Amino acid sequence: MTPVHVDEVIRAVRDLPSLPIVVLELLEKMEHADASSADLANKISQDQALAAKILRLANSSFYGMSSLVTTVPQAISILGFGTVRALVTAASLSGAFVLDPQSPFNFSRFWKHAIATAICAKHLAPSHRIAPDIAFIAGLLHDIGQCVLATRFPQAYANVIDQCRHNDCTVVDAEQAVFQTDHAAVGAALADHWRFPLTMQHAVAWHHDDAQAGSDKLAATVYVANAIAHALDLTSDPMESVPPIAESVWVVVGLDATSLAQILPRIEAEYAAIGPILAM
Amino acid sequence: MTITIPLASASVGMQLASDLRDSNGAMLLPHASVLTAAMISAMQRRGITQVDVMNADDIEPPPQPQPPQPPQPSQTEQIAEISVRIDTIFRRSGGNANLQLQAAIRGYRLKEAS
Repeated sequence: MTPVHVDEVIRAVRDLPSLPIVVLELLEKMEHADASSADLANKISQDQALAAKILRLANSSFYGMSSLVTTVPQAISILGFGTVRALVTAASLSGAFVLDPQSPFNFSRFWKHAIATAICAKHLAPSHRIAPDIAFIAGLLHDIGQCVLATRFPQAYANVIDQCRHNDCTVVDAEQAVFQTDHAAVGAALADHWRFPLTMQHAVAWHHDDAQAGSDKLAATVYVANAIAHALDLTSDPMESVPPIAESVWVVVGLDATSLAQILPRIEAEYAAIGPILAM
Repeated sequence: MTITIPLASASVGMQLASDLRDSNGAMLLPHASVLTAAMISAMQRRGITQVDVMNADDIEPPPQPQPPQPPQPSQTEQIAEISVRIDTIFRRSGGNANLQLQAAIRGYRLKEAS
């Protein structure tokens, strides 16, 4: 099979639709702590499916408010502005990609891993002063390049999946063989195309980059969160494997045996509670 | 040394020096059984009149207090399965960070399983 030329990949990224305006506005406000939740509630209320999902989440037992939350503003106050913003982002992103029904790419497993990584990143963030909701969104987005490759080049990506299965190689190695680029680079190009904040672009670009990830706290968070999400083995992937973790990145996040033992159960509990609702 | 005593003298904790059989030769209690009150009354009901017991000096030390029950086979299997799965998903690992994460995951999963 002829490899897909890297230029074709870049063109495909440029051809992707722009993000819905609501997401763009939310991301632009990301750095402002005073972003108005009334504003957010208004926008969400215009999208029935999104509003329903947010109400279900706020009413899940995880937040201990079962069935008491009936309005979007209430839901925002319970879930937190950050979580709701992340949810809006996730919902818009999943809508931007349509998968060929013949494709062997496992979309549901993709989202499960994205959500698990987002939750891990959120729990890692406070110890080294990263805003948890920014870490959550970066975690959610980190593999978005896989979505681009799998939906725009379904046949070539089937080849990637095949190589991973038969040679037990990493996704990055298989993508490099087929596309001469990989999902981290493609994801970063998309994050740029979508005008995400630079630090978010770095987090996506470097989540497999041993040399660079340690130079940015958010990138280091997502790099380690990705490894922990794989280690927690939450997506029933028979080929699951934890990538090698560079010491230089690991130390930035500052985990030790005690803090790991504390966060692992919390991550898994949160994943069990909200993962299924987010992944719908 | 074996001594034969009348059943009336048998007391809880004595140890049989030979197999105890009924008049038809059927085994009632094997050699080395430690007598309990229930065994002694069962022997009385069966009309046993005397028993061979070990001399107190020869009595084997009482069994050690039961060690914690070994895990049920299913749990042992479960733990083995967890360990194999963790080793499998960490197959690309080697460095210190991976070893720390692997140890934390193993500790967490085994705690969950027990």
